[in-house]
Amino acid sequence: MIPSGICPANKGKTQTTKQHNMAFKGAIEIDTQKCKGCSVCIDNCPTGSIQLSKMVNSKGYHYAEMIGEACVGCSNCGIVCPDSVITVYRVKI
Amino acid sequence: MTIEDIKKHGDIVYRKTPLLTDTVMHYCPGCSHGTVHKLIAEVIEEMGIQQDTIAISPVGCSVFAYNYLNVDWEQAAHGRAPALATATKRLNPEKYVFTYQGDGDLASIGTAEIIHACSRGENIVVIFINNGIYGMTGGQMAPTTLLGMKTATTPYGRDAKLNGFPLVIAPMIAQLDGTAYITRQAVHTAPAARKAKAAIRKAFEYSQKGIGLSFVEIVATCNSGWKMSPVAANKWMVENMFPKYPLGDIKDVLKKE
Repeated sequence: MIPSGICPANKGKTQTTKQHNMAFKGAIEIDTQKCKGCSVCIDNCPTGSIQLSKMVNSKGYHYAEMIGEACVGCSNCGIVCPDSVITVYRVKI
Repeated sequence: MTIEDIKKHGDIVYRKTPLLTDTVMHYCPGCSHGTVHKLIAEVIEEMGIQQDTIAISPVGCSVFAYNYLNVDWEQAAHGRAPALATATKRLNPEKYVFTYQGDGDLASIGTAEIIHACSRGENIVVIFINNGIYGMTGGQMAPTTLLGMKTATTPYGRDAKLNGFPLVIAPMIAQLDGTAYITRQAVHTAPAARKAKAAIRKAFEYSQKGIGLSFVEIVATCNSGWKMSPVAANKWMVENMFPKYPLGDIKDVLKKE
């Protein structure tokens, strides 16, 4: 897990350019009725910001939900989601 | 800044592409088909070719792909998608024509069609989903099943003496002069999915240059058929499928040495 607000592409690298010093905060929105709880997004999240909920949706799946405020809006979860249920938002700070 | 503020003021950096319909996919949780459908939809959206794309759906789990991607579709008989794509492309040379086929469809019953379409150098794109199993019919052995892999019809593992060796299609068709671009990708992680998307885009661009067939093989998972969780299936794929089916470009006729 990496600290909040650091670009995941920068992990372990020296920050030189101005672009890379920029910090982001992100948030995701999940269409819980369409989520099938496959957990592929959880496996791909570099900040550990997603977990499966204790609740189930109308089809009986434990859907993914966002936790904490570590999300940097890298959109890894969105691109690997097989059912395209994730929308990713990001702001510069 | 709270999560709600970010959603209110932040930029949308990723969203479901409007080319995908709102239909809930019938695929099992974590199936690679959904990810590949999405990548194709994003490529078509970015290239702005929704009106000019004709897709051919196969027989297999992805037979219902026409419910999910909002482009024109034709549905081919089992394995015959390249033959149908040949006719479609020859009649509509300005259209982008692609087939979407699984390994049971392309590597087994449709081997003749794909080899001759490659040999003729049809200007189409072939998306080949290789998960080493017949997913739709309940996980029987496919030609691409790995040696030792347990399936419904090889309960003790695939045995070379009894069942033959896995069929590796991509290097085989790379020898044919009619092919322009052959690559093998995966969609199990975000970097791999981004590379696969770039490869699909390249294949679509090549198909309009009139230089031959573009073939994108996606090494995929079938977690239900493999009887694993989606995350475990991805791990198993990296450990077992990649040594036999290594990722990367196999042929690119326009690449400068």
